[in-house]
Amino acid sequence: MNKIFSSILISVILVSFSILISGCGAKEQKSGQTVVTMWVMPNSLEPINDLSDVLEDFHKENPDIKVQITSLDWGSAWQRITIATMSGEGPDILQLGTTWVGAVTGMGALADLTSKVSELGGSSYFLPSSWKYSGIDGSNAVTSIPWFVDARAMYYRTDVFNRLGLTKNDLATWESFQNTLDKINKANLTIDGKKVYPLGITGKNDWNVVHNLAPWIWMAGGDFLKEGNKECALYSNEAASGLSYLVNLVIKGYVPASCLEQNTSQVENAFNNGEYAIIFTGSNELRALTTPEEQGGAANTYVAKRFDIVPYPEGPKGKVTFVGGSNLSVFKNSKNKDEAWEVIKYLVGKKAQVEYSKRSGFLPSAMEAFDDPYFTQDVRRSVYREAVKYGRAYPCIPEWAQIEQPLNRRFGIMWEYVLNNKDKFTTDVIYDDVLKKAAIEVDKVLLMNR
Amino acid sequence: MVNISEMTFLEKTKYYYHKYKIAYYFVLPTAIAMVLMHFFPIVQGLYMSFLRLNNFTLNQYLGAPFIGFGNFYDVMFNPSSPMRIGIYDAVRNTIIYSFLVTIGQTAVGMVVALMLSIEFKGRGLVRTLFMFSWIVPTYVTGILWGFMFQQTIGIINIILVDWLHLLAEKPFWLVGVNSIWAIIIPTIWRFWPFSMLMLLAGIQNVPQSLYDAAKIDGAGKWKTFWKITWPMLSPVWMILVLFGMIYNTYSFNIVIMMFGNGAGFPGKWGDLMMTNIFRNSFMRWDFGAGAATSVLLLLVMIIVVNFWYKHYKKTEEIF
Amino acid sequence: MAFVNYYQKERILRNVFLVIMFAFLIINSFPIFWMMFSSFKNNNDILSGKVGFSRAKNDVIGMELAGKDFYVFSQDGGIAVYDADTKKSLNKLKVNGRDVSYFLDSDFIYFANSTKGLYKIDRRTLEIKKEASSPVTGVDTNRLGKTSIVAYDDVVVYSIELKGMNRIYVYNKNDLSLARKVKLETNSDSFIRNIQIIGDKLYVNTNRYLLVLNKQTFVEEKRIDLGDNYLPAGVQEVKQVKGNNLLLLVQNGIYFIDTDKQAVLDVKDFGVSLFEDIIIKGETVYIVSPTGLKVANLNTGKVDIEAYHLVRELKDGVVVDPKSDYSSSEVTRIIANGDEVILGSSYGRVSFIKDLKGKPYDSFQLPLGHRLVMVENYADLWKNIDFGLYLKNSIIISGFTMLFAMILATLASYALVRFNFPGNKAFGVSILATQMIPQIMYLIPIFIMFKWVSDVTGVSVQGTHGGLTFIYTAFFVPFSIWILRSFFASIPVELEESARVDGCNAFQVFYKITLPLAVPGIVATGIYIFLQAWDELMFAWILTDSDTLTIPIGIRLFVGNYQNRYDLMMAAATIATLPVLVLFFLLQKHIVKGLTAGAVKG
Repeated sequence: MNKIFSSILISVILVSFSILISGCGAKEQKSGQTVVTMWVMPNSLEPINDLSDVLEDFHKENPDIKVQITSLDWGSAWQRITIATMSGEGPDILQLGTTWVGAVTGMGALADLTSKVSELGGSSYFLPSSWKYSGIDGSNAVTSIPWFVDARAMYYRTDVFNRLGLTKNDLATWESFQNTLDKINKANLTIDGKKVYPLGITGKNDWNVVHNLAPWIWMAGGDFLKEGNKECALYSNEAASGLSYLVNLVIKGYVPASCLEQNTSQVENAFNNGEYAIIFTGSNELRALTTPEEQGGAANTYVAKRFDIVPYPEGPKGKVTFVGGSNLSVFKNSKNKDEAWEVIKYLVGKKAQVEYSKRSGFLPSAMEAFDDPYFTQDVRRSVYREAVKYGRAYPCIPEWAQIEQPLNRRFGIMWEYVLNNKDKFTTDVIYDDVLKKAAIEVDKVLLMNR
Repeated sequence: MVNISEMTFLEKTKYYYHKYKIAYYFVLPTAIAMVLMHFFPIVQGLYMSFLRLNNFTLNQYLGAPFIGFGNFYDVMFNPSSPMRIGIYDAVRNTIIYSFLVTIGQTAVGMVVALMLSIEFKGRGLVRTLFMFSWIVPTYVTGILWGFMFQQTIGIINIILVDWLHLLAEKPFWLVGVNSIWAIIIPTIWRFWPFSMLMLLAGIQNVPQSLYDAAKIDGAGKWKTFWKITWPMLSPVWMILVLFGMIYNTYSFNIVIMMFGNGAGFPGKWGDLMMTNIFRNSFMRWDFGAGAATSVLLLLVMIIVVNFWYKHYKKTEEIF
Repeated sequence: MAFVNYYQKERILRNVFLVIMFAFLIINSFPIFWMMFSSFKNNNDILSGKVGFSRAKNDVIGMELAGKDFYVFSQDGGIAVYDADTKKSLNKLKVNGRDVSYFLDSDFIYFANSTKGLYKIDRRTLEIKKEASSPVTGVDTNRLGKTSIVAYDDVVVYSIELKGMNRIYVYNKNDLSLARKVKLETNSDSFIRNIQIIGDKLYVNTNRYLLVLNKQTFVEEKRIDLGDNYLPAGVQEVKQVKGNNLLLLVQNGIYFIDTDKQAVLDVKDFGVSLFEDIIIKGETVYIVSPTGLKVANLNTGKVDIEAYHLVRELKDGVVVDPKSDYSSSEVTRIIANGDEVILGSSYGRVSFIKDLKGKPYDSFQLPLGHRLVMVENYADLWKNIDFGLYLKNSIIISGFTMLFAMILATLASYALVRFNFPGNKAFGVSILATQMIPQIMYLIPIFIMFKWVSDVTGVSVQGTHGGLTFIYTAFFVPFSIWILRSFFASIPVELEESARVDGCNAFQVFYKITLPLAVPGIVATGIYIFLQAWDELMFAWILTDSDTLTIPIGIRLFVGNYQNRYDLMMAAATIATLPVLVLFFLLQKHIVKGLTAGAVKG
């Protein structure tokens, strides 16, 4: 018996050895070629394939540069960037979520790109709302270049609307939006064997708890930070009324409770499968609804043939949508800064922007890319073209990423509370329990860093 | 016989070296690895807890401003420190979690071990099948149970509500108070087979004569278990409880993978000390405070283990 | 109960115990079963909470009337023949696959799908006469789209929708052997939507151009630029009306094309947002969209009849709510048969209509589609992300960690048990003490130290297999020593003493006597280390490089901000579990013996 097991053991060792050897041999690199390493997050269904497709022409034009792409999920990317900053060892190019730019710039981890931006035609080349994230507020240094933009809009089912005699004008303001939801709720529709709930929104388990709530706070006239970015502005009647408007939609039963446990892509999937009449989400949902099922989309579903897109309903203080997305930065300790810049320059060029937008579903950050027929010809895509115009972003300050943590937690607790104590919920709860505490916690962070 | 007590230090060293040469050679590689990968890092980690190491001073690393016990003060007494946000929840959850999981895995392991001590055909295979849940990697455990715990489409709610009608409506597992159960149950599921294996080996080692004697005395099954099996197994389960306590307090993988696959906040009732430290260190970039919390946790752990060790030494000498 | 004696009671109790135990075994194994089961499911089924496997859609993709035979083709690869008058089923065949297309000629049905390839099927008996495998191999099945097949003269032409693919394949009609590949001039990002034969011209629709080829030589004669058409379905069908005028059915409208001028003359949408199929009778056009049928004048664009009440609501072949105007059964195909029309719709419904303002006078249902068991998930796993690399790295790192940690732990624990050297106790205690330190504290210092080592020595350790192996070895050695210590202690020391007497030196005693006896313990420890290294998450998150990423990192890529691929995630989880499961199953006797040595000794 011992012989059998020791032979198994030996073979396991041999196999792992041979794999190690073959693994080392597989590293191919042409001599004289500069390898530019790049960290990206899963922006599309096949993150590495899609980006390499876009970069195909770049590789043809620049045979001496090879872009090596690593795909990281957002969670581990966050840690890796931190540690790379600490040790000074990182990739040449890194993708940064717009809300991280302030923090990572503040750490001094990014190369200054100010002098190079003129090659692209200056800041006017980009969408104003996304250019806001090119560097820290109040400083002129450019540390990151907008790559793509994530803007949100409202998706609704045309079949439900037609049936109830509703039009998109019924989604124009907060008041009419609520009436519309009420009508859909009362109609108690069952279409395609599924009960249709009026609205789908995400709760605590989403990645973007704060982003999802931000438009409602802004539209009510509230804000996160006071002028000068030194103090939290959340403890205000405006912010409370914005949040309570949204929470009340849940309390009134327009949103099924199960929805609050899900994340954005689950809610999107439920919408595709016909469970909600209305959802708020980003432009990649439009891509999913126009991509065949065989390619990972949902173009074959019942809903995909019966939906339309409009901007957020207009609140007391106007129409606002959250604009996020991702930027590209060059790491300070990179040894191939010039080559890295070439790659970035290519990726923000019109052609690559449109190509990447087709694959990821996000919107381009370059203004001229919106003139492409891809955006002008499609009615629904042009809604997003409009939406980015009144997009609003968080202040780009080094503390923002830290501020988001307590907010994330506090709003997460708010959703848990909504779920468990539906009856007891009042605007006062938001005001005293959520916003007051959140403001105190945010102030703590701001104070700590001063 | 050499008289050791009369030797000088150098002579002593030489003498021991010659006598235990092979032992020192054998221990040397491990010792080097220990010093490199445990001692050096932990010294740095301890030092970090005295620094204001945040996103502004990150690139200076150990050159960051030294603030003495500032971080410890912040964690324990300073009500206006952001480090204290949610720490009460994390401490409470960690205590409940490590307590219940440790008891749970030992209890389930004990019950199954007793069942498996009955002779029947295919016992070896059944034992192996029971062990399978212990083989599943913890990150898979987190993902898998998170997948099964989903409110509407998760199989657990489908079985409980749609099939068995045990509950009126589908409960939330990953949101709210239930999330503590959502992390305790998978952890027990993942770790109990190890306890079972150890306890089963222990049971099989209890002399049959003791049971025979008990039978003659007319003791029932229940009494036999508490009077014979349980005390005889005490060295086994005490070690299991010790290691269970340590590992469960530092549990991280299952929780982090279950809620939002490592991005989300596990919730008021799902947050543990490790996820809290992780969030403060890597998402709020307050490494000083994170290290200080780790050190405090370590101190608590040393006290608990010491207490356990003293108690344990009374029962049985093993070390 | 008085009759139940002691032994009977024992036996009943024993059986109750066993029943409880087996029930618990099933419950305990259920999550693993569920993981494996879910990995074979369709992601949409998982997301909509279906417990079992759903059926392939049997939407009607085509209908043909040939004399008295009425052929219906469905999306799941079904071919059914009915009697046109009595609507009785005559014959049927099922060729499972996706992206199905067909072409019917006087004797044979030429049939294609994207996964398996081409078939030549006898029209009368529905027997498969010839098969040919797909010419496109090694491509992620998720990237393959619609196929298209036509047959004429002595050739069969096949195309498949794949981004960047600009070839059509020509097969010999007789034996289905590949005769030639025709390369077309198109954009790099284009794909071929379908091919059609009308007269002596072969029409190739891409998402940008309509190419007109000579059907014998395959030389391009004309091309018509349709502009940037980004709609997913692109061109669906070409119909020739009169002279050189062509009609082109695109998802969002009907394009009128002058082939001589190679230009689009007009686009009409007839108020329909989504075109599925049309038929043209003189000036009249019958347009089928998901909700029903419109009859309009082709030239003026005037809509004469809107018939939205034709197809009943069906779900999985069952009528849900016949009164509802909103049908979930969507019309997908239409053909004309004399003065009546036949509509094919989703869920395999075929309806016959004479009076367009009334209800269908007759209808029947195609057989249900096959169950979708997605074995492809495992293939897609490899293609969607570089999962093979992650798996390989996990094996390498865990394997070497196991090897090194086993060696270190064996040596150290032997020394600790057999030699009471000064420092023995301190060493043992400090090793156990390391278990009490939260790992998170090590994270940053180790990273910085690695960087320092590469700066000083020039040898890169951060992000290499070696670096991670070294950390894991150091981390898993302490507990391994603890296990092995009990094992060595259980080996009687007398054996060694007698070997000593025989003249062996200390190393020989260890090597020749103790080591062979300790094999079960060492194997058990090795497996334990392998499991631990396989399981490690925190260090792998930050200390790996693009080519040393391990499974815990890869597995998180499937569920994130923008996608929820539970199917692939469960497949990945299964693959992450299986190797260790098999390893454990093979070596379980040793593991049990090795791990429990301490307990037995106690």
